[in-house]
Amino acid sequence: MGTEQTLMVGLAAAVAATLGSMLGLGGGVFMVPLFTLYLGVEPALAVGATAVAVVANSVVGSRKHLGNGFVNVRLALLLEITAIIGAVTGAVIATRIRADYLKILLGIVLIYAAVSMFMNRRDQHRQVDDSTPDPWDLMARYTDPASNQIITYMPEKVPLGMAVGTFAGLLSGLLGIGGGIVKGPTMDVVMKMPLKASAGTATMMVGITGVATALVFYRSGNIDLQVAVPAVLGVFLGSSLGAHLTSRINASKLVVLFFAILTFLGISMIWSGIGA
Amino acid sequence: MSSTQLDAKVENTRELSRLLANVLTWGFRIGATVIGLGIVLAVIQHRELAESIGSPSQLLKSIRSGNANGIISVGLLVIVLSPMAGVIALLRSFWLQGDRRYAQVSLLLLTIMIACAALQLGG
Repeated sequence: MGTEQTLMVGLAAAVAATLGSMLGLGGGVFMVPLFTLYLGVEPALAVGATAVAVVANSVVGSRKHLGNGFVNVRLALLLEITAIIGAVTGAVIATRIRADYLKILLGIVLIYAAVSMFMNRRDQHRQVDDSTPDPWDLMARYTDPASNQIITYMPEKVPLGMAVGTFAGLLSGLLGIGGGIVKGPTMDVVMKMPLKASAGTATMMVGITGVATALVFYRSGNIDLQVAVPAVLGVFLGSSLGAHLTSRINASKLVVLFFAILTFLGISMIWSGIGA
Repeated sequence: MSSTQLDAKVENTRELSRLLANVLTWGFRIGATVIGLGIVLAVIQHRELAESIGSPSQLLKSIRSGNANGIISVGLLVIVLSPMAGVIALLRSFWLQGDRRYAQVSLLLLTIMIACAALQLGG
């Protein structure tokens, strides 16, 4: 891999991490298509490097989200129990599946995520008060820096969230992505969480899922330092920027950006998979 | 839940968030520093980055011989394992606060993570 390609991998990772952190997706969902479609990285190596970069993105991005009070730590731990089991299963399958199938699957996942977010673009959380019953001890409160509003919320349908989390983990393992692409929308739409809380919580969660995924790819020899190192360095830059921007940008604008980019990348991935 | 209880819980969550942020910050700092050292070493040694990390035993051998790729790989592993350190810190904190439910949740999650790490790094 030449110097120019190394720099491009780092740059692509920085852009992906900025978007990923803003949307609570971990960035992997953007990285795999950018690496394989535009930088000629072999899909298995792109997925392996992305798995490591996704953890780095979460480690860096979570710090800012934690500082803003956007992360529901208890919920993240609860949902990760099922997600991590799915992730290990998915990563083991990924080391045995054909690359073109992975591309088509990722393309479908990208389009699904874009459409689902576009259909549910409004912040659907319900403001709760002190008297609302809290059986899972998950009620949380934070001050939104963009509006200075105090948001008190409680995640709903926790068991369903955990079930969907298994599927999110499976995708994470299969595609090297953090699984935030499913976790974020699940928390917005099913669990009725505020967008910033779901983005912050998902950012932390993808790091935990990513540990299991990255270790499976490490074991299978799919972590190429020539791709992983620039990807991680790019992520260090992009993730900090993304988390910084999240607290200043209107949440509904993020969804429109998300829809446009993911639809384009999804179609490109399916096209490439069919071509392969 | 009364207003006072919710305020106490919000404050408790803030403390947990600060703790986790500190652990992740140190994981990031140590990992990034080690990767940086490895890159400098690679430049000095005129060595290209390796195409894979290698098995744990190869990695140990590589570190002992001062190989840049071994050092960089350790930095990557420190970052990858930082969230696991975060879960350990949360487990300890929940345990000390007497929050048995979330201490158990953390312990279960940590057990799964350690089992996965042992399986993948062990052989």
